[in-house]
Amino acid sequence: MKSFFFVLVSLFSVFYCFADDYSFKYGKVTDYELAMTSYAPDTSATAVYIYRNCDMKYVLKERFVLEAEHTVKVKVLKDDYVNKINLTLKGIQKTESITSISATVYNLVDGKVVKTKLSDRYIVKEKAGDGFRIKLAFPNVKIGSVVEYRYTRHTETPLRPADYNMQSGIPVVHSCVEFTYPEYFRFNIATAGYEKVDVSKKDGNASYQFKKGGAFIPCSTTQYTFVADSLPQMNLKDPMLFSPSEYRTHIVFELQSVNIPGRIPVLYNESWESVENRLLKSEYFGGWLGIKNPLAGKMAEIDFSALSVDEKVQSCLTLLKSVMNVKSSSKVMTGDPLKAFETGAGFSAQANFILMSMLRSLNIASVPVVLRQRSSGRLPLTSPTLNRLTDFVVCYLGADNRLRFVDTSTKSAVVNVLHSNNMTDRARMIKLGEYQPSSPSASEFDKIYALAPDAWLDLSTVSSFVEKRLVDITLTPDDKIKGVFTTLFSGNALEACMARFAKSKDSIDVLERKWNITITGFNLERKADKFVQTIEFEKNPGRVDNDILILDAVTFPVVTKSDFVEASRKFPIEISLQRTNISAVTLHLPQGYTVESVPESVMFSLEDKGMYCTMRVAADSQTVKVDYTNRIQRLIYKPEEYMNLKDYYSRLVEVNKTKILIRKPVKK
Amino acid sequence: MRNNFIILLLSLTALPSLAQMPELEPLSPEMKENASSIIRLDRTQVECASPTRARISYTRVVTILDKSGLDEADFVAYCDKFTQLKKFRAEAFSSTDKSLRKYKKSDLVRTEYSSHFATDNYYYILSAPQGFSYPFTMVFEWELEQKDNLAFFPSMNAFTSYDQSVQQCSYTLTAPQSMTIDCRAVNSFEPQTTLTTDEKKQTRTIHLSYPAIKAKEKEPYSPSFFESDLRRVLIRPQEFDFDGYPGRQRTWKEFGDWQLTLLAGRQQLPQEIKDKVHQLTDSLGSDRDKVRALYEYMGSMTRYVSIQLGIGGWQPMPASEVAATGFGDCKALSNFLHSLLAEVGIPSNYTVIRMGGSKSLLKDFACIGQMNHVILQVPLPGDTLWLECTNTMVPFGYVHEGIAGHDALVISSQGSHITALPSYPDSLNTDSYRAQVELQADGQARMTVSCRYGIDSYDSVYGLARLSPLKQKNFVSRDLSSSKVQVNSVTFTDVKNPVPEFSYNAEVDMSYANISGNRVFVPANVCRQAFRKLNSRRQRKSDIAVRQGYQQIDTIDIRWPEVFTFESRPQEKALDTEFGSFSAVIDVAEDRKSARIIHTLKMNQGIYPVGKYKDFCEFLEAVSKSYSSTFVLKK
Repeated sequence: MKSFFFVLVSLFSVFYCFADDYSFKYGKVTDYELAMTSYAPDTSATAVYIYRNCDMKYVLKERFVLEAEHTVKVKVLKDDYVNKINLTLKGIQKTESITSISATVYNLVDGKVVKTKLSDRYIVKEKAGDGFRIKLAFPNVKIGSVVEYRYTRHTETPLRPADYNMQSGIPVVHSCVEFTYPEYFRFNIATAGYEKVDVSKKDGNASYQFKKGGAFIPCSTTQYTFVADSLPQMNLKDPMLFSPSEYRTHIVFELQSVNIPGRIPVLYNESWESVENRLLKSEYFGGWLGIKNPLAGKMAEIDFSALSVDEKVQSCLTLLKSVMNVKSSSKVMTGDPLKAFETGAGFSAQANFILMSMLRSLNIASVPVVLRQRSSGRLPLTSPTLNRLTDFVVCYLGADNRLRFVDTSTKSAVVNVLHSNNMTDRARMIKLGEYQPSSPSASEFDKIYALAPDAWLDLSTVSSFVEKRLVDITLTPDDKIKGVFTTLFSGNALEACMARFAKSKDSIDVLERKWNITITGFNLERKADKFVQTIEFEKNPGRVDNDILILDAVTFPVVTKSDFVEASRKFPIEISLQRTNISAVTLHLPQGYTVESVPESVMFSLEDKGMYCTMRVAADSQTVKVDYTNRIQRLIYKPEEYMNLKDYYSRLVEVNKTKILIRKPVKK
Repeated sequence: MRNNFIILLLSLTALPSLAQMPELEPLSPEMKENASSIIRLDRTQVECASPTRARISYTRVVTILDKSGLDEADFVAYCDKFTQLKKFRAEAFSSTDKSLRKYKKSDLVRTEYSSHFATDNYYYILSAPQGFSYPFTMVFEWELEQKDNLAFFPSMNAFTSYDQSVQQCSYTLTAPQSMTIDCRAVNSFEPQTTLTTDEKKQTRTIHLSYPAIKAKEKEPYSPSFFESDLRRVLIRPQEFDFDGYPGRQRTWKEFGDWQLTLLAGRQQLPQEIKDKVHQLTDSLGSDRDKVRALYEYMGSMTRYVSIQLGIGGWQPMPASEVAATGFGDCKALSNFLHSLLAEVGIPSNYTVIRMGGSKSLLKDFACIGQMNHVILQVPLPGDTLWLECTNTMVPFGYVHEGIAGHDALVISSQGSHITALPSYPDSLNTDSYRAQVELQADGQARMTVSCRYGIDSYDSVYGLARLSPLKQKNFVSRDLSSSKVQVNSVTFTDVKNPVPEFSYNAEVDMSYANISGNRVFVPANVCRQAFRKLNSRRQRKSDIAVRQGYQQIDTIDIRWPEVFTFESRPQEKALDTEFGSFSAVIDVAEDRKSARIIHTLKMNQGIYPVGKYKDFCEFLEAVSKSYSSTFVLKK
């Protein structure tokens, strides 16, 4: 009794603070809601969701149907939102329906509440792809309006609820999601995002009549309730995050299994092992593991005997990419790789299966490493899932007994250089088990598995962006700069380079404009795993003041502006790649010219050397040498480190702007 | 059984099988120059059976040379309640004419997906195939049927984008002799035209074609493709019947008369709105004040919702419906304001205009489809107002840049006519900075800075005032050329006059000077960035277009600390060219501890001949150099 009283008091106190302000009950609008002109926690808010609720449960019709009743109340605070108030219910599948749409707009006019109901005329259904969208245009919405609406979505397949976003582009005062399911369903349910969500679980009972006229069969139910209050608005366009939506407060539902009386039980995602098992059993994944090598004939023309395992894999990758145009996959399960091969084009998943068949011909063990691309968000470790896997790369054991990775979606086609979107810190190696070929031997596969004992792999540092510049310049007596600028692009820099130099004619023009130089000679050469770009050029010094010449110390600045310009930061910062930029400049002076001033040598870094920069400057009577290095080693930074990054990049830009002053000889 | 066989045979022969690549003229190297795709064949055949019915057959063969041309392998057929897709087939071929894939109508995705709230339109879409090796060729054949909307025929679009060559393009229209049909080429690129008649069938045939057209590269400061390079022929029937609304369009007046029939009876207002209108305006003295009051009233009670239903989106929703729902599209809202003004006896005219593309309408060729927007003209004595009814945040009396200087058709029962909206002189189109900089010994500086934006610039920034304080600070931070900016405070002012002005005032701490060895380099103007560099050595092909003239006057005062000794200053400059003028005035104080920089740039709107390209590059380069120039101080 005492504890009941305590609970009652607690509940009262929770709602009391809102009692005079907001109502979270559908159909009730408070005076406060109608009168409010701004939302105190965020006065810039153009509108605020007073509540955003969803009640989901399973209803047995001929089959189980998931019914989700959405109820929402939104207060319009600024003109900008008046034009955004229309609602579009997107991605409704053919197997779904929307019912019970209703909405009321409340306005305070001359002190009286005026209600306007949504007319059926302004509920528009629009076919889109295999499904449809429903659009609602709420009437008489103006600054100050309170708009309340509800609808129910009925879903036959898929039977799991979609992820529910509690947070939005405008603040949310209160969000409550209830999900009730019978014992026939098993779920992995998790909350994700940055804001606090209170989760409670309650057991209950229900009974279902599976046959018309049949008995009602009792079963137990589970009800989860998720409550979040005072959620701030969330910007979903954040260039410093791969997948900003990952940081939005949301609920993830993964269906593990369905076991309905009288029907065959279906296992979905009970564990990562069961996910792997489903993949291997699928004709669209496991079915392709044993395909015939379509390039066997061409491989027979290559003498692999003297090559190391890495050279063999590289040869296979090069050969495959020479005959097949490969595009990044969005699903790991894929159509027939051999059919795609015949057309000369396919997805990376298809190309990977062909590559594995090629490696098998050379008796090289290889396994798939499945992943979720960074732009789609991380894989949930505790919620095994097949739906969220988007691509895979191929893994084998290198000559140094370390794991090597091959990504057929890269343009550069170099072993151990991955597409940056595939360089996730959470990828999973698939153990082939009974799908393992008889050759190579099981022990060869076991060596690979042994290097990933829990199957999880971090691919984020497999490759990095490396650009090395060598600049040799001479100042001529007529105050011109002539020189040779050589750049070596390797790793992911090679990828970027291949995209940039798709048209060499344009690239010369781009380079001339970028560096403000006149190119007198240009050569771009692919050498194994790198590009070597050589530019012979002429340029004018930055400025000539009477007897002084001013030159950029690094000649070709590497970092000219900082992306860290915001006043503060709430979310972490994700850097795409480890990066090394090296620039070595040698400046030769003509007779009689002297060095008036050079920048001081500097070295600075973030605390843990996650990023560091050095510039060493040495000068003698006829030569100035500038060695510049900037390395990025750490890829994820906490929000509180934003100011450190801002300082670091500011210094980096300033270092790249430093000047050398040369005094000209006095004319006699 | 026999009938079935005949039907089968007919259906098989209706569109010939694409078992092999159509015979095409070989490609010359010139056609590949600057091209990412080549239209090998574009053939349109219109069979118009009556003023309300036509069947249109298309054949389009396009070779995709590289990834940037891939969009040209997309297929979209626009349909609505008047237009249906009857047939479709397509096939992809490799560079060796090997068939890669065939597509049939069932491969198309039918979608009603639209950015409008409601529309009659729907689309059939085939997304460009992914992964084929370049080059590859797509062959499309399809047929549309049009009923009850023949106010216009499909235009002949011979040359519509950069980076695309056109090898063969033809258009054939056959129609009853009783119909009078006119053609008009835009941009004076006249097609080869032949006319034939068939007295037996009582039909007339127009055949249009263009010789091969080489791809054109998009260059910086190119004139509008729409106004200079587009090869398009508009084709109209002089008389038409659009969904039961008959009309004529031999002149714009006739077209306006048709538009008036669509507007008829749609101005009724409910009594409570009429009462409100009088409550708001009866005490006001001038018509201008009344118009302003009703313009603002409309803004407070309505919002823009795009509803393109019925008669191709040409008929507005009734004013009573706007009053009931509080929303409408440009047509509905303009008609609504027209009705409000009529209630207080102020005449106004529904005005049809084009946003985007060309500013000009073809004055000698009236036809539906040249315009895409509606505004309201209020002809007050000596003070004609042009009101944008979809966004009343636009200051009253100001003609925003999306319509300023554009031709418009004023719909009037006294005779509809084309007129040009007013535009603003370049000198009013400004953004100018005023800054005081206190430099410190470590190269950091405290700066108070203000920037004033007028006309064109105003349109792009006035929304800033409504952003969160953090976003406002981020805007200022990005606006200044510095490796690090800390915005301490910022305020915005929005003066919503007929010539509006927006401004910000900010106090910032920032990285300012670069210290290199024993020298300090102090930038002359951190408020400006250099122009995008042009390559003056490159052979220019297009004329140079400065589409929008403007004036920028920056005044910057810099004071540096005692520890620094003045060594040199940026060069002064005074340039006066046909493209514009520029001056850099640098005034160093007598104590050599401070300086004032005044940069004045005036760019003149205009089209300049290609031969002036080098001079133009030099002008921009000289301005850029001044903007990025530095004072040199000694430590």
